[in-house]
Amino acid sequence: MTGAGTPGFDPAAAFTSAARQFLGLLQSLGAGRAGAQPWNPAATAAALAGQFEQWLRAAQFSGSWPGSDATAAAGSAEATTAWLRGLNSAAGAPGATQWQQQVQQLWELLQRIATLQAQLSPYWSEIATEAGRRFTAQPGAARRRPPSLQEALQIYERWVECAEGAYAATVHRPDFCHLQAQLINASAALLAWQRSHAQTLQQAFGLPVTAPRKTAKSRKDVRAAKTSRAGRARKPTGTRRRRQS
Amino acid sequence: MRKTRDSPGPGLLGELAARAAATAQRLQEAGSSAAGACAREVVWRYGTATLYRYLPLPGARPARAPAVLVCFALVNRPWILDLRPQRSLLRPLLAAGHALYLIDWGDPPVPGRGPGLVQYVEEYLGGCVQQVRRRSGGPVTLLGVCQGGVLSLCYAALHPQRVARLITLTTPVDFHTPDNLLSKWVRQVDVELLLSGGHLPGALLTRLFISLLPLRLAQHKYIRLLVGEPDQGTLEDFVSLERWIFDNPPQAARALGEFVRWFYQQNRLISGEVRLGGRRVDLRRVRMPVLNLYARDDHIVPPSASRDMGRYLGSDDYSAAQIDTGHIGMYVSRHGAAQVPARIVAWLGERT
Repeated sequence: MTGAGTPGFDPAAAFTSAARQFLGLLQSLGAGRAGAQPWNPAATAAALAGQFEQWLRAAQFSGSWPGSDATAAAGSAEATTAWLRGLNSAAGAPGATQWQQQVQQLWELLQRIATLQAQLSPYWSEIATEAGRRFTAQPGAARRRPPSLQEALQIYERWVECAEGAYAATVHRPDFCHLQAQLINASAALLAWQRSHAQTLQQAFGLPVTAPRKTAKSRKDVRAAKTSRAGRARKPTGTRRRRQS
Repeated sequence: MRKTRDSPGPGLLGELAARAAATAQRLQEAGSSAAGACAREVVWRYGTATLYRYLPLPGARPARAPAVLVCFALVNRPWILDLRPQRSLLRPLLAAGHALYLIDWGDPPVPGRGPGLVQYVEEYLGGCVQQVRRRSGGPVTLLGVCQGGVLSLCYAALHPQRVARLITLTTPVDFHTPDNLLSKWVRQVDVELLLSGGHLPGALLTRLFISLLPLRLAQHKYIRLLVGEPDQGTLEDFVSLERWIFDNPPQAARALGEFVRWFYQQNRLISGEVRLGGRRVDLRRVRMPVLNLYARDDHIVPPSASRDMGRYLGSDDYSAAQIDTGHIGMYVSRHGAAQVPARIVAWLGERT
């Protein structure tokens, strides 16, 4: 069983980030402030919507979104360009033309992903605005005194409800689904590039590379070992090794 | 309950901030289980898969029912079903005396595109069924979970004589219902492109699943933890669950591509157009008793994707129930723990 070192697994950090947001909400509600003014639902909704939009944008770039790896790896456009130039100049060895083509492919992929993320950007604004509108429209939103913790939690629950509702209303739409699929496609292409890139680098710098024939042989060995193991373990009756049609 | 809970005042924010810091520290220190809670032994290995047999619980009277073989999804690890002693869907089945087996698919072999669905269904799952049949001396009860439920349906349709009963949890059959967001997102995915990079990293799937319900899955649950003032056991449950959520295995390119294309994009299961090893998967051949449990608030397999399963099966003994929880809650929530195993045990008991 695995788990240690799992990418993204850091409950303490995720908890701290969420707790910070919640404490910010409490503050905006006036909780804990002596003689605080009655809170203004519209102002709170605007603040929450602003935070939500920022959070959606950040999530897109920081790892909880398809395609985020690419932009995180690429950083700013300038840094990416410099990095790509560096790669190009490093590849003066045999195979440089092929390498330059691959770098060009990478550049185009990163641009494609950046374009798609920019196209998704208005949707985050739309979702956040709609979430704020729903929150303000909730009956009983106005309150005359700062809330207790339980009341603040109820307000937060209501906010989550509104935000998820607004999110769902947008992300089910065909135009969003189309963009999301395009982003997954571009991310998949980038993943494929990253994997093939490792081999090209090895070739460019004259490092030993696993020959295709050897790879094919390895596959054959794996299959043979599997068959042998399966045979030892009494192959199930009716099992077929034919390819599916 | 502390005084500050219901009394606003200058101390509230400070106390919460202190509690948040302490909880974060405790989260870092909390142990988590990734190995399951019930004792088990390896009884068979095939390719990357391992078949486990769970050891009977002391004092449990053996049930007079076919052995239960659990077939989990390829996209997650199965240890969620036996997370911790108090959060185990399997333990109540063992306590009821059922002989219990589980398939752990493992990680797909490298290099190559890995097994396709025909290998997973016929060789891996089929091999496990044969092993369990050989050991128990009769047909098995297949318990398929999520995507594993789909694989189990396929197997049961291809080999109905080998499956005595079929239980499906959070299992989709109709992938094109209007509220299925995951299906909408992947319908235009270029499968060939997706596969061109080889196996898909599990972390990408994790992100995709979280982005279906981002605020709840990436923020809300932590706030509930903060306000809930968790004891050590609750924190350890939480961390174990977090570890599982972020522990999606890499996906064999071939099988993933087939699953996305045939099921999510072409919705072939209910039209009878899935073919495995040259044979058509006809759900009308699933004539054994079937119990289908699905979750009301499931964001991955919405109830609409599962609740009409009975329409497509040939079984005269089909039961279904909606459980008031979410996808993961089916396996680990208090409500799921109270409902799901009890329903399974009762349903099996009525059919022995």
